[in-house]
Amino acid sequence: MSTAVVTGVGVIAPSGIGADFWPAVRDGRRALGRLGRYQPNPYPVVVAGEVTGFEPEGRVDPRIAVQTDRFTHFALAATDLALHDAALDPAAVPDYRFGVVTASYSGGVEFGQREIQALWRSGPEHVGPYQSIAWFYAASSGQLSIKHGLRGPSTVLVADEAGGLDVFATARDELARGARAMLAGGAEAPFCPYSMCGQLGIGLLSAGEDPDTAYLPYTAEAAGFAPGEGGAVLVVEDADAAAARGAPARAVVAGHGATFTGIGRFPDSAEGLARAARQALADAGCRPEEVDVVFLDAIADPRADQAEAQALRSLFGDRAVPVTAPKTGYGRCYAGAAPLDVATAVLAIEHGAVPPTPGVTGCRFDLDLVTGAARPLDVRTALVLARGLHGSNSALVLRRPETS
Amino acid sequence: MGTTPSPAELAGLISRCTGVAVTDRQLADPTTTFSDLGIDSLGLMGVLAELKRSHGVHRDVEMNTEHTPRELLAVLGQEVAR
Repeated sequence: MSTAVVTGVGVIAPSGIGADFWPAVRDGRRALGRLGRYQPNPYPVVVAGEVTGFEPEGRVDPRIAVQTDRFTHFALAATDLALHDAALDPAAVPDYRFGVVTASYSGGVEFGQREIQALWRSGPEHVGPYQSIAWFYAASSGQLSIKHGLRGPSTVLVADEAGGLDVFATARDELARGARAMLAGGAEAPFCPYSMCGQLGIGLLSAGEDPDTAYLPYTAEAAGFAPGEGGAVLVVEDADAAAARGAPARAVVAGHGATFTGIGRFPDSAEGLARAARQALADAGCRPEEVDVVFLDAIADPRADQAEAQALRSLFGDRAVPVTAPKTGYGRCYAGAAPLDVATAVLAIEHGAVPPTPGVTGCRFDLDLVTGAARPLDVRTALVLARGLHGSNSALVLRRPETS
Repeated sequence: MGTTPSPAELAGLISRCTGVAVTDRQLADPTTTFSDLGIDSLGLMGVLAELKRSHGVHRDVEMNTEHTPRELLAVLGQEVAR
């Protein structure tokens, strides 16, 4: 059985791009603000995490930029960062052995809105041909495969937001089947009126107007989440292949589990999340006592938060395990949220520090929630939890590589 | 109907529709195809659609990426002449 290791991390997040991300989350800096991506904004969601300062110019080939949505621009840019971080030239990987798996929740909605407007305002002949590929959930995986010549397994998971964790299981499975390297992750760009109207129907977005208080999971003030854009792409390699080229293993993708407990049935997600976590731990050959930190899902719905706290209690009993939700600082980035948490977990393992949950004080559950400042901690095993807004529950175990 | 775009205007239109920065000199070269310029079939379709919308080019005009922009310019000249 091969071992899957993370060798590169590429982040495009409201908190920061590339190397700017870790200091921002470590220090609990907040990147939520007034949603400005579209004007006017007549919708009852005004606080969001936007990737400010990101333009495709200089990051995306102009030919590709005109035919792709912002969510693909993010994925392309995050991948360049990840490959650079991994010092991996895709051409050096044996042909058909390098693949890509991304998760998508919204697809290319902003591009799609532009073309839908052209359709209804001016007529079908005004719809550009690139609409046929730009909106599609698989657009990012496809463009990454084309750009980097990846002829290995290439796919997209449209599996609710928790699909952002499942991609790492898919990557690991493909490595076990013979791939040498996989790009795994996801990015979202959900800020346009068309997309926002779809998101509002979920009834879980925060209507708060103050960036400091709009997204406060686990507190008495919890009233929904602030949405975010961006995400992360990681390079996941076969450990032997990474070692052979002298690339340091940053973390081991050790175990994964997933369950489904139904749309809008958050009380049931307590058991669903706990089962997913147990599966992931069993898959990793790891006991709950070995978990050093948990990266939380943090929906900020009172029922959902309570279910998550119950899941943790059933896993760990009375043991106080440090838990954190750095995403309260930059928003919940849909299928990009879990890849960002995985990236953060890798960085936490490397830096020996658990970043805080920005803005949250007065946790109403019996949790050892890291707040305020980063907590120095020797992180050997991290558990990452993710739920989808439509009933998916996933868990991933990351472990620090054994040093020989 | 519409007006014939100049080579410089066509170059600008192609750049806008396809993201490929082309010059009017490249458009004048009789051997350089759309494919050579890095313009794919969807990009060319977008260029033709724009010409049909904004410059009165007949809807039946079709080209593929092995054609040259010079051929397109010739078609545009005929279109407006007829």
